[in-house]
Amino acid sequence: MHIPDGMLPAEVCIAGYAGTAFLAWLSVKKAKSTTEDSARVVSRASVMAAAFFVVSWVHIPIPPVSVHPVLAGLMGILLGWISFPAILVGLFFQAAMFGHGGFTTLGVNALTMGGAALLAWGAFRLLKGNEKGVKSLIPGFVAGLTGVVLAVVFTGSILILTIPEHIDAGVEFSSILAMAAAHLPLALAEGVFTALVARFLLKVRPDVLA
Amino acid sequence: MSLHSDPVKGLLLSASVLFASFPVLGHGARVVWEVQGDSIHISAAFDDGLPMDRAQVTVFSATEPSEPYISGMTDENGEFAFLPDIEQSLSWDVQVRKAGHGDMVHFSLAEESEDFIEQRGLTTLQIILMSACVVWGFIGTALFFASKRKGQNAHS
Repeated sequence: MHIPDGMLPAEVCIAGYAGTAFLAWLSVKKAKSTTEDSARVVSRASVMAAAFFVVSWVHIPIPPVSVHPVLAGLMGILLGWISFPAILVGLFFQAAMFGHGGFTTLGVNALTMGGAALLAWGAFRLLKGNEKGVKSLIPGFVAGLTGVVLAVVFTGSILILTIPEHIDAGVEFSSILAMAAAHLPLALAEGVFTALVARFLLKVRPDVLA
Repeated sequence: MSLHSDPVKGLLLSASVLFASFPVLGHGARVVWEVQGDSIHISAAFDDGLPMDRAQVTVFSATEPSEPYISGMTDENGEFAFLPDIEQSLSWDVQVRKAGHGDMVHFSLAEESEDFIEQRGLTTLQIILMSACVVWGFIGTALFFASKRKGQNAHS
């Protein structure tokens, strides 16, 4: 899921940083305008950034690749706008400490995963209502599923559009499709997990959800 | 061209065997290279140990970094071998790529020790300690702001 250094052309990396700078600025601005309790927002963002940082080490082998949880949907529904900078911080530490992702691709990776988190949150807000029973699981499920699927689609699209000339494009294209397909079980699992968390929080602490 | 045509260069390659198999941990992929006779042997795996089978390998020499010296694909064990032309260059870059994952390793057959030091990976203990430090940093930040919030509530 993390695109490492050396895989993308320089102009794409620069564009990624530009897009990330804009979205980070917009996220902080929106978060400031919608909450008066900044201490609460920062403390929650820190905890979720820690979770995001750690789960990248949970490897789930689904041949031909191994996948790891993304948590974009969960980050989105818990943090809202601030999920983007939280994911950006998590990605920075993953790149700095373990080489997961890269510094040149940090902007692009933040856009793919942070953007997916924001869109998953949007889907959650659209679907969230007063449903009871099984239907109350749908908004969380969609958010969790959407978070992974969008991150994979964004990452895969960027990789496909930037396949270098010196490698076999057909082989790389097939590998990217296989990588995307391997994430489908993970998307379903994150959908179920996010649905359960969202329903629980809606019952006991609805104010925790963004 | 045989590497043994020049005894000095042959000796350099032979000496490299002593420093073989230093892992590179990075970008979710682990690439190991070693000298085996006249050829360079590349082994690529994801950082959880799963071999990067059928990954595309592109080799560049330092003298012609924009033109691939040779291209190929790893086998089912994530392995690949090539014969370097050491008259063309002693420094090589090898990129291993699969679905946008992989790494590029650089090595010089003339300056083994410095390059090998750079290529050493992290031990599991180091990874655990580093993770714990970062997580503690996040949690500490959260606790700091949570306590600040409590303080504000107490004053109001």
